[in-house]
Amino acid sequence: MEITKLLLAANSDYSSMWNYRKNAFLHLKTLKNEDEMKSMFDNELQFIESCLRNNPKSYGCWHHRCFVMLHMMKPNWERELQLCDLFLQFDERNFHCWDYRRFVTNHSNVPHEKEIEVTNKIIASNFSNYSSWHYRSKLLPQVYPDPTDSKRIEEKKLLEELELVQNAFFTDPNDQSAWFYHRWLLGRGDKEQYIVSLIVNRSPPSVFCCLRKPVKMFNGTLSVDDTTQTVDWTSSMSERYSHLWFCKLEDGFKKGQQHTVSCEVESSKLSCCLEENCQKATVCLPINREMFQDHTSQAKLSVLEDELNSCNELNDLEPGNKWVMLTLVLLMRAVSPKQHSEKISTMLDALTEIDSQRKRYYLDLRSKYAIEDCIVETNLNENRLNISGMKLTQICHLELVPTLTHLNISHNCLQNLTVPFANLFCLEVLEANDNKITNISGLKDVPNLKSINLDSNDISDVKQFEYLKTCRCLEKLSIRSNPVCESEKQFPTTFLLHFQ
Amino acid sequence: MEEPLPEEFDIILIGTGLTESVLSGAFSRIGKSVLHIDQNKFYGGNWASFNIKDFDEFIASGGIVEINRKEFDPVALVTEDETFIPVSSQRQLIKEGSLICNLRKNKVTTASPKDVEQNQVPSPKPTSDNDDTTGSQEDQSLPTKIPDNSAPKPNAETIETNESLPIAEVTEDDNKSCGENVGDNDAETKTEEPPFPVAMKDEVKQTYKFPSFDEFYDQWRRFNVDLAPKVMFSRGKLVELLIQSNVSRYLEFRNVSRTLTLLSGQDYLQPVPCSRADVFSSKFVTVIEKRILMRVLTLCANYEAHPEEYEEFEDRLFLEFLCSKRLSEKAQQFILHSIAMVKETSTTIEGLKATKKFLQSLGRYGNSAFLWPMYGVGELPQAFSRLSAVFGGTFCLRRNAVGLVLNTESGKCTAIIDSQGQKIKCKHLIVDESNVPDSYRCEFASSVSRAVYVTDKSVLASDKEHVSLITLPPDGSRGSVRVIEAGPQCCVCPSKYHLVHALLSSAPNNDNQVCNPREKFKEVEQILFAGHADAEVPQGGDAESTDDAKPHILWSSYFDMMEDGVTRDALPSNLYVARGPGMELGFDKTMGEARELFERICPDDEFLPRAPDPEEIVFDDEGYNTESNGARVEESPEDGAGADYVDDAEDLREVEDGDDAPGQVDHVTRIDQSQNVFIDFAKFKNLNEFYKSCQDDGFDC
Repeated sequence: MEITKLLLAANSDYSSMWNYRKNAFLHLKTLKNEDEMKSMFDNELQFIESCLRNNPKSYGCWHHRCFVMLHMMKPNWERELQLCDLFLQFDERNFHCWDYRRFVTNHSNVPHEKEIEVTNKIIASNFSNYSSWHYRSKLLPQVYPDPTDSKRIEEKKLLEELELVQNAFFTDPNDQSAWFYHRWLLGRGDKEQYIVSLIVNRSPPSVFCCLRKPVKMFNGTLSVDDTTQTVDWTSSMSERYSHLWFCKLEDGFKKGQQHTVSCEVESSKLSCCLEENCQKATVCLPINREMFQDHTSQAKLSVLEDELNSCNELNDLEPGNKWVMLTLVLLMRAVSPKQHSEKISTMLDALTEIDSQRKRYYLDLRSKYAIEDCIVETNLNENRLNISGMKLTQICHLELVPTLTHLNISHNCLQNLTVPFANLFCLEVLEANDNKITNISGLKDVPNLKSINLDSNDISDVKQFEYLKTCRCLEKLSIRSNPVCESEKQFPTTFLLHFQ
Repeated sequence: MEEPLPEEFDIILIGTGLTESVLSGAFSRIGKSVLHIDQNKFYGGNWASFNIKDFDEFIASGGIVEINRKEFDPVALVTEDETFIPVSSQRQLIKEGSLICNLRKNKVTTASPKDVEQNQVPSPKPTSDNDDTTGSQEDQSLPTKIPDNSAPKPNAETIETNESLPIAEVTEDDNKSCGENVGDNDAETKTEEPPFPVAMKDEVKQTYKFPSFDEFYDQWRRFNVDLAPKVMFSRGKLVELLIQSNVSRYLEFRNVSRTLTLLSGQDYLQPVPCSRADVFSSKFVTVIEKRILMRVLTLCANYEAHPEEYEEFEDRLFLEFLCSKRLSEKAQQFILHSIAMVKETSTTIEGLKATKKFLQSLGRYGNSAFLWPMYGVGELPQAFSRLSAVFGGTFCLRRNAVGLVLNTESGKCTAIIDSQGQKIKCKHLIVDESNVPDSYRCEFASSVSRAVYVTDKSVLASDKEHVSLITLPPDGSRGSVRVIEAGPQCCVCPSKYHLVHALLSSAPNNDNQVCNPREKFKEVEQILFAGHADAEVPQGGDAESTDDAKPHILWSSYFDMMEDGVTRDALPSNLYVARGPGMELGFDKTMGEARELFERICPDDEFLPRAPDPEEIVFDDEGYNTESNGARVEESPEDGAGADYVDDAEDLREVEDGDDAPGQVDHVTRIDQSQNVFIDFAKFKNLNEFYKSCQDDGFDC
């Protein structure tokens, strides 16, 4: 014990040594009586404290302290809380200490209201402190829950919080912690789950289900002609949370017969009719605006409008502040994308100038908005989407439109197609001409893709076309006016042969 | 009678004010022989802090000290080639001094009988003829009024006692005690031990929330009333000097935790948002104002880098500059009066400089630009005097110079003749303004009007105790008034009281203005307090006195501090005159003067190098060696500020912790203990061997 103590005094980040001590304590606990253990633990706490004084951000120390507190017979939580106060005074952004504080308050049942007061105090002394804003965002919904949504806070409190955070960013608009808290206040609520679209295949008998929000496990009820089926849903996306789920039907569909397939999850139900002589059927709900609004969208419209107005004021006072402008963009999107479309666009342009290090981010954001607008305005049951000529720099939201057969992304500024197209199960025609595409790795495994137009792009490497090998239905590939055509004279013949 | 002093010193200083004390410390520190004398029986001169009794006495005396002077003929001590220049010891430091205690029963304590007659200071004086009616009315209204104020707590006991308190009797008692008091005044000014009949004492104790006269004066020791209340800029010259010289170890400080002001057209105080945190949490300015305010403050903090922002205003008023920044009127007032603290007629450059100075000090020690010395400003000269004494300076109170001896040929001052008839030679002589020979005086230069109040609560209620700096912008004929309020946590008054200082620069030779300092502060009292200090409350004043949110004046005193004019050009070349405290808010001028005088006298020596801590002083055979232990000195970084700064900051924090949350006191000490434990580990000499043995055992180090 003494040896480890000396070592840890010299370097408190040595976690093996802490573990060694933990084992020793566990062993001693079986040998010694309560009083002896108490004094040992007390000494240990003091020792940890001395280590922390030297290295207040040592993971090992804080963790070991938790261990000691949990193994003490009568831990003095009150004192620990004071310790946290003290260390937060030294460094109010020490997240280790914030973590430990949460640990202490959880174990000693400190009322959340009291802890909110603590954050009040710390924020009042210095609001550039995301740790305390964050702690607040965890506490508030527990003390002032929104009756309809447990993760949000009631409106009265929300307005108060908005005022507080407004004070912060008006005082210093360059402080990002306030802006992030502002975003939390306005958005990121729990959206209601529903099924966006269904794709039914006669052979092999299978169903694809597209969900509004990605889930880790999908257990929707599937019924064919009102008979509930036992199915195993598998995710068809590589992410941990998936929008798209796929299942095989054991019994299959009878040949030449009409079937009605419906899927149900939570309160949403979607049915799809597979006609007698069709191999495949799709159905999709129209995608509305709500679907795309994630940040700054949960609060009431009136609240958002108020925020928009005050941000506009701030923008007048402080022209060219990126945080103000970005928040304005987000708010305008949330309030009325159509009405503000021009302003959003000019503001994003300005942002690319002001904050040139994040130029791509703003361009991608604009692309995202353009695609969203387009999806909302398109009748998806026609299974065609045209997003050409919009200066797009990225493609997104493909996971929400798995029923598309035709996709036109031509005449944009795309530099690559790396987002996976594989979930566009039905996609047959892809027009991607007149872009600056160099990489097409996203075009792997697109099951029904028949025709790709990649004319007038920047593909210079033959190997890029290897990806297309995996598209088994591919019949037509056009790659005129690509650098690759000039350098590899023999290429077209050899390559097309492969497909035949 | 008294022990004779050595015959000769390098430096003699007369007066223990701050400048002299700093110099005394500085000269002793570099090994000069120093004699430091003061006619008073206390340290600090014009900078002193007093307990209530001593303060009463001081005010009563008008600052004139009766020195127990030996009868002798000073001229007889002077040789042929020398000239004797007498110094009159009867300089009046303060004028128009008065004291009023509003506490129950014996409300009257008077300064000097002369003052009483001139100003009619003691209000309830039923014996006086013309004021008889108003006076006795007051007497009756006071006991009834005050229980009303404390009425919100209808305590059965209290009510009972109130009921059983016949007013007639009270008046009678009043008359009796006042009569006695007046009698006292006639005999001899006597402020302590007011004569209370024993029976009355019991009655007084049972009454209301206000303390009785007795209770108040029983705690006389716990007051520290400053003659020259000032605050220290956290990055001002004084703080730097304290750190540099290590004199800070004798002192403790508190943050001036808030700045308040009165906006024109309003009658309540409000906090001035100075720092980023203040601006953020201020509820008095709109978010838009916050933004503009922050922008302007940020600009001022680094104005030199943005000449384009202020160039066109360089020769114009600061106010115009602020106006051009779209600041609201409120915010303009905040900056002008409370942050820059300049006049409305100040130029932009002056304003920017002052603002920058303020902002630089902001945040060094907590969320504030100023520090306030615990136990009052009087601690500061004493701390430097202590340094001087530690380094061998000779101190002698209750002694002054009856005259100076000048060498007729060189015109230099070669010696002083002290009040004990001793001729003491010196190479340099430094005196404060009140010890300058009459022949070097010009007509009276200026004075500072002062008011001191003891109140029952803070001027602006808050959940914790503050040290407040309050600036009341000029209004009409009234000039700008500076107010400093401190509470028991600063050890300037007992608990449940607050001590309020008010300063007003009084223009000399302005006859048509009110001269009586008490009159000058009337308006200020209306703003800050409920009712007036004296009992002559105008009839409409009743509404105000019921305003329970404002503090009541329990005790007050008024006086003018004189600043003597000295024709410095005519002085002998080795006679230096240190200026008094004046109106300056901080200490920069004083410190600048001290350093300048030091450099004139000892141009090649270092001004107050770091003094070693006691444990660093190594004793050897020849007495003690003041050379500090070398290793320790090298430890502190080149500029010295960094390391000391941290030490200081910790000191401050401990003081604060202790009072903010009583539970934390133990905690702080405990941490220190554990730190000591840790230091023991670090000192372990065989650590390397331990590593080695661990490696042998197969541990990876």
